[in-house]
Amino acid sequence: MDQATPPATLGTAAPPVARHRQSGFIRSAGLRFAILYAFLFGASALALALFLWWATAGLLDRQTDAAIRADAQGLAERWEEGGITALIATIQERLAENVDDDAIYLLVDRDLNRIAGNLNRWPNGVTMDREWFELPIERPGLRSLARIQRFDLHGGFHLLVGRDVQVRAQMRRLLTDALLWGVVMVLVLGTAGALVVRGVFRRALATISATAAAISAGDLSRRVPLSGRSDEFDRLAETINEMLDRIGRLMDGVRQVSNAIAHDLRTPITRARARLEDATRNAQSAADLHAAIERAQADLDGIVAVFHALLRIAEIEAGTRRSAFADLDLAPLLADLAELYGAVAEERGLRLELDWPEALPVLGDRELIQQAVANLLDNAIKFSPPGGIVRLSATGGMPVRIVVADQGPGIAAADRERATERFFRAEAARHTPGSGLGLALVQAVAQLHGGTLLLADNGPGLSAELELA
Amino acid sequence: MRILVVEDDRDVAGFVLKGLREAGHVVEHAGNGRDGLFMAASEGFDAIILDRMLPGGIDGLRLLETLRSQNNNTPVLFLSAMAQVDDRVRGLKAGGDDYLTKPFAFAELLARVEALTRRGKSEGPATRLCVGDLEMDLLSRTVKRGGAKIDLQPREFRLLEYLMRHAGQVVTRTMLLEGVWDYHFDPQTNVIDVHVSRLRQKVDKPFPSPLIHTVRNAGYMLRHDG
Amino acid sequence: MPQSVHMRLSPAVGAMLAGLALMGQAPAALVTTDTPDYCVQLRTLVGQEVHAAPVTPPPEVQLLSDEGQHMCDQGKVRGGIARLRRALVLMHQMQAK
Repeated sequence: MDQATPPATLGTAAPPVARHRQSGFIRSAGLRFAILYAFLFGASALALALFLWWATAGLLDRQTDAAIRADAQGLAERWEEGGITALIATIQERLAENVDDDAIYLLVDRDLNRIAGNLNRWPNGVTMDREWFELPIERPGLRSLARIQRFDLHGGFHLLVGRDVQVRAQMRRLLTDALLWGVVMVLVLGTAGALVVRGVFRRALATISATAAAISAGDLSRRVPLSGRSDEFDRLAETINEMLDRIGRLMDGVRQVSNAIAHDLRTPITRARARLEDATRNAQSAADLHAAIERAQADLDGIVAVFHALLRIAEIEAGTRRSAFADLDLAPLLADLAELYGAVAEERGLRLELDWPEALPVLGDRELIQQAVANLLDNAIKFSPPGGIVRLSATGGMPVRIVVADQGPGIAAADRERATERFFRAEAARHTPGSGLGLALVQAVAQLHGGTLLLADNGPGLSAELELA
Repeated sequence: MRILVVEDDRDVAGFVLKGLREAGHVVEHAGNGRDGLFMAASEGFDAIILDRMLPGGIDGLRLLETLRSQNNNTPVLFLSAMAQVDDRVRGLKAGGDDYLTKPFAFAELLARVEALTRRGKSEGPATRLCVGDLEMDLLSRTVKRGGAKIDLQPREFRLLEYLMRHAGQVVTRTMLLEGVWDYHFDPQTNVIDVHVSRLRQKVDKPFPSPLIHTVRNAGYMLRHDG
Repeated sequence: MPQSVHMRLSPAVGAMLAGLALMGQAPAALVTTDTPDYCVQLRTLVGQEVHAAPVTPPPEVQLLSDEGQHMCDQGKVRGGIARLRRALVLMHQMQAK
């Protein structure tokens, strides 16, 4: 993408247009892809051109050389058979039959005097035996090119066997020129194609980068639109949207906490401070001071507990504990909790009803589930009137459901939405002990397990259903 | 008891040292990991109170791992500002015996340290526990006081067993929650108190002298006032 | 033969350089089978073979031979020589059978 990496914290309102200009041209991934395309295209075309050249001009050359070699081979046989006389006769014969007028022969003695063949003199530069040479020759009124091979024979004779390759040379030049122009065409087409690819690439990413830019600028409600093709880009968009949803939830959580801390924690802190100040001013005796200090200690412990709970919720919401999930049976876990809270319930004149299957397997975090159910039981017992029934039940399957129902005042339908916010206390519960974090923690645990917390009316009372996927 | 406190925060260290000395223990202090390791390895202590985060290159975990690798099995109680469960698990896996998060009540610290040493000593399998005229038979799971059988539910039995194993020591509510119910966090309501009070109904009320005492601001203690 | 209207590249450059180099030296070797003399030589050869042939050669031989000589006389040496050579080839083919 053409944007610089987005800032680490969301909400920085750097205008995306400015960033566009700042980022380097070379850093564009679209350009890189385009260059890659151009390179591949060019390389393929070049390979094709080279192959064509080899198959045509190259073939011509190979054919010429093959003909020369065959010719020389034939002459060699005649030389073996009949010596110099036979050789001369063969050369003359071949020249006489050379309808294509392309054969070149020259037979000279050790002093380079011409004996046979159709060159008038031994050419310069033909220095070594068995070597191939290409040299200009003259025909009457015409310049030409010959490809020849030199042979040194017994008796001091030197033989040249070759072909006039002027036509072929010209054809080769033609082909080379054509192929090179072809390569130039390829470069042009490749560049054009590269730009097209880059355009396609950028368009495909445009929606994503536009959305991301809007989000960076602060509009967290934006989501990447899907094209409906369910292709890789759509899947990427879906993942990004899920991530944005999660970021939204986390940011809501942060906002909640900030608001709540600002409001709800200041109260006990202020109270503790006030008490201590009051003690310094008005305490009459050491015992009074002692008492004041102890109460302040208790206040501070309460605040610490709230912080612990907040940290716990944050830890749960961060999701890292999911990796510690294990297979566990909830039946004994619920039995333990029932037993623990049973005594308290009895003491308050409440009846605790229990109902769950023999075995309740689930994949999750034992401590978190314990704490969540404990919170629900705690609330139920706290808010139930004497003589009431608190029911703890569970069902297995997918999802596993744990229900804690009480017959207390319940939560008004309007408040149920916000009940799981941190520090939320419904008006009716404003003055009961507790920090208001219990349900927030239960909700966080539920979400970590892929489930949710459902609050409903128990007619009368509250039914809190903890769903664990 | 000889206790080593390895803690770099001067205020916390001072607070802990003073409290332990007032409780009658002999206490040594190290302000960083290296000194702590040296002292722990070279001198014999009955218990070590070890802060997780220490300066000087050797943190609490490394210190403990080194000690354990030297076959030093002194009971260790971790102090940590880190409250995540993973940290507790890691501390215990490294060889720690108990874990306490800051801020803590001194009573809690004292109770747990003293419980540590007791744990070390009576490791042998016991079949009977006796405190005063209270007898508990672990094999038959029966309890008698003054010869009379007391009928207890399984959890009450385990609660009493825990108290008896820590007889004469302060047992905090958190320790009971962890030891008897395997519960690792703070419940809002005082569930423990209710259970202890029910136990008292059965174990203390019908008898002349109480064995289960409440220790103010700390917890409970099972003790025979003989 | 297409002339150098389009780009000429290294083979051509090489040849031209070689030519330039050779211009400072002796002239290039001359092909000797492109001359009117060779025409006459071939014509004589054809005549000899026709005469020595046991079977009457096909009329194309004579035709080509005459044509060849005619062209040579007119100055179209290469064409003439080609025709004469074709006549010889035909003769040899006939003799080979």
